[in-house]
Amino acid sequence: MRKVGIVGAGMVECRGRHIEKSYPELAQLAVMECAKDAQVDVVREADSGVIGIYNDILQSQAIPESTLQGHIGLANKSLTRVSSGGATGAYAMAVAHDRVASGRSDICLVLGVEKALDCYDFEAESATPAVVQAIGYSWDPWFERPLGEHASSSYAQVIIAYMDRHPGDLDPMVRARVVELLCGHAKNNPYAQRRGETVTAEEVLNSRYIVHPVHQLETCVYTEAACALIFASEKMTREIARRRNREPMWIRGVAEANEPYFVGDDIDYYKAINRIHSDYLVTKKALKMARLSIDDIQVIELHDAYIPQMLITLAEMGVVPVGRANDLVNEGIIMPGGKLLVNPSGGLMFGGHFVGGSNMMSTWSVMRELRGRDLQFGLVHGTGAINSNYGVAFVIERGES
Amino acid sequence: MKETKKIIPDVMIPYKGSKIEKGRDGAEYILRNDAMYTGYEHSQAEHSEFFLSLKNNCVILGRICPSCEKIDVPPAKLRCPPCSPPVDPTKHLQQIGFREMVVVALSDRGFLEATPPVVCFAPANFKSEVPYANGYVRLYTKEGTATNGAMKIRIRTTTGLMRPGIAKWKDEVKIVFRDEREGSICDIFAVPASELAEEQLQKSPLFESDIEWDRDMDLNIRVDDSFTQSGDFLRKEWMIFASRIERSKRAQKDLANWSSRILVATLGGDFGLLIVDGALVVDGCDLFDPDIILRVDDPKTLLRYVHDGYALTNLFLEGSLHLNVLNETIFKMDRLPRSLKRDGV
Ligand SMILES: [Zn+2]
Repeated sequence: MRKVGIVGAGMVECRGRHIEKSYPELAQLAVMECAKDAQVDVVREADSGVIGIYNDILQSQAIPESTLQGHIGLANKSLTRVSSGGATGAYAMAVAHDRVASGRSDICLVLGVEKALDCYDFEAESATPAVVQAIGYSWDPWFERPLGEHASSSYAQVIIAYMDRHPGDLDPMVRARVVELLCGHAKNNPYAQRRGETVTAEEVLNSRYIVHPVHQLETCVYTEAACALIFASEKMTREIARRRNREPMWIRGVAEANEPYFVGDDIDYYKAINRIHSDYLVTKKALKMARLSIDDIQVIELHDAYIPQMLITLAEMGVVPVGRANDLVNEGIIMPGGKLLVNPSGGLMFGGHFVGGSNMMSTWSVMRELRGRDLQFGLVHGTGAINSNYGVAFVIERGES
Repeated sequence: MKETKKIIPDVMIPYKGSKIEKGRDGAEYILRNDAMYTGYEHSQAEHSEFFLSLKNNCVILGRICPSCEKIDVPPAKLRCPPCSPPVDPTKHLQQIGFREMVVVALSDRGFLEATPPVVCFAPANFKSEVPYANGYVRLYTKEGTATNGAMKIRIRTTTGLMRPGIAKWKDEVKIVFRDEREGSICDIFAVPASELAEEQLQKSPLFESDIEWDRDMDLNIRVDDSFTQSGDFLRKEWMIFASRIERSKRAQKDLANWSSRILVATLGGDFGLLIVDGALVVDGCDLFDPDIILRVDDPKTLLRYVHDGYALTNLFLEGSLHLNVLNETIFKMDRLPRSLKRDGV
């Protein structure tokens, strides 16, 4: 397997709604920014692309990637669309990694784009119920969808099942302080959807439950945006790094795992509802591939769809034991000055969650922090689908210049 | 005449047309009404046996693997991937894995694999059902063994609206059948066994009509003189709250194009709230035909909302606020405190 580097990143500002821009326009802007950042001529140098678009209903178009081919400079080249629930962005990156690692591609454009808020509920006169419904169409249509399942209820089910087994963990005040933390982080992210916003722990606890036990202010937002990355072979990564006069970034580890849909009592056969077992598996596997341990990781950008889920994920990753997630805050581990920097972009919570590309924004952020803070190892994580069943992890290393 | 329900309610179907909105750049952009829709005659395929059994026989079916003896419910797959059928010496190629599972009739008793979350904010098609809870239930076989798989099922309470704490991890439940069934997962739901009498628990199948519903819905208006003073105070605080909305663009936007008539009933007296044209108006006590009733004993309970911005939804879920319905009006009101704060009002 060949070594794979990341040579550039381009973001479009995250917004609740871009009524001024269609998804092809958002996509083209992100690719344009990425080409500039990498100093790569996409049309003449990129030989393939992978695109993450989560949900056709949100774009109001089936096979939306077909529109993009010409817009993003990949006329007559291979462009694979990936759709893997909430983890779509990370899965698209995994496919692009494999394409370069296999030797089939030397420069692969990776793009994630999503619209969302064009959906509209004409009864409630509000977009959100329609967005939630569009996502709700992801559930098994025979046994579960008729019951009104949706993203928040399924994450809440995992969270409350964890709390059943670990009473006292995921303390509401701990969670509220994490919201404050991420709110502060987002101020340093020029693309963050909620960068001007201030949320206090008290406001989090006062905010309504959307699905008990999850408060509205501990859930991520719906976002319209795009992010592009360029993955390259070792040779091209070194050449572009010289061209750009900066150190290369290497993908040292990558892993994906998908848990079964249906719930039951055997973790090897069913989904264990009190666990995010996929997060445990992919972190272990990606770190093994990188020949590192979780203690070597200095910055994590993880998929914080919901704050309590983010804390469970950090426990599954081995940052603290499962059942001891409160320690992340109470022992200061992820707090300012702590040993681990988590979601310096503000995460999906404050940065934004444009599903097809959120994990790519996380990658942009990890690379920025590795350079800006002179760090060596970072981890990018994506989760998604029903009951947080899909997991992806990447280990990123800042190389020598 | 039999009621006929449409899959897509009329109110959800947009009229042809469009509107113009200003973008951040000040230019005009068109928002064109549209809908993506596809009718289905959705085959229940191999699951038809399960759903027909619910509809016609009121029996829940699972599937058991003869090798590993795992019992799936719902019986979503027909074969067990890790297990192989017995070797067939007459065949050149043996089947590796994917052993055929066997249908097994389950009892209508089981327990919760986890505490079910309570949904307050629902997808568009389920707005009218909140607050609701779906939980994973492991059923018992006729021999009393628990299934390995857990089935997602609606959990209902006989006491009124669903709230946290009513159904918890490990709680025993009884499966109840709707009197009219169509062959869908909605034909059944579970009720905490602790809410049912012994004879109801023993009855199989137990029907929805065998149960008395909404036993503890307490919306009766009572007055206690010792609360009169705090009742008056609460009403004044609501008037101050309403006047703050007049100074907040965000709060007015929260209530825009919405109307509702709300009766606030406390032991210290009752009064009305009108939402109209982006404003909240505190009205007299003879509010005609309210569409929402907020009932608390101690008027101070509602000060947590008007003073501290604590969500009405949460007061309801915690049991200190009684509602006849949890709906969009409550959610819009729950946005107001933060909007007022963000506008510095
Ligand atoms: Zn088996």
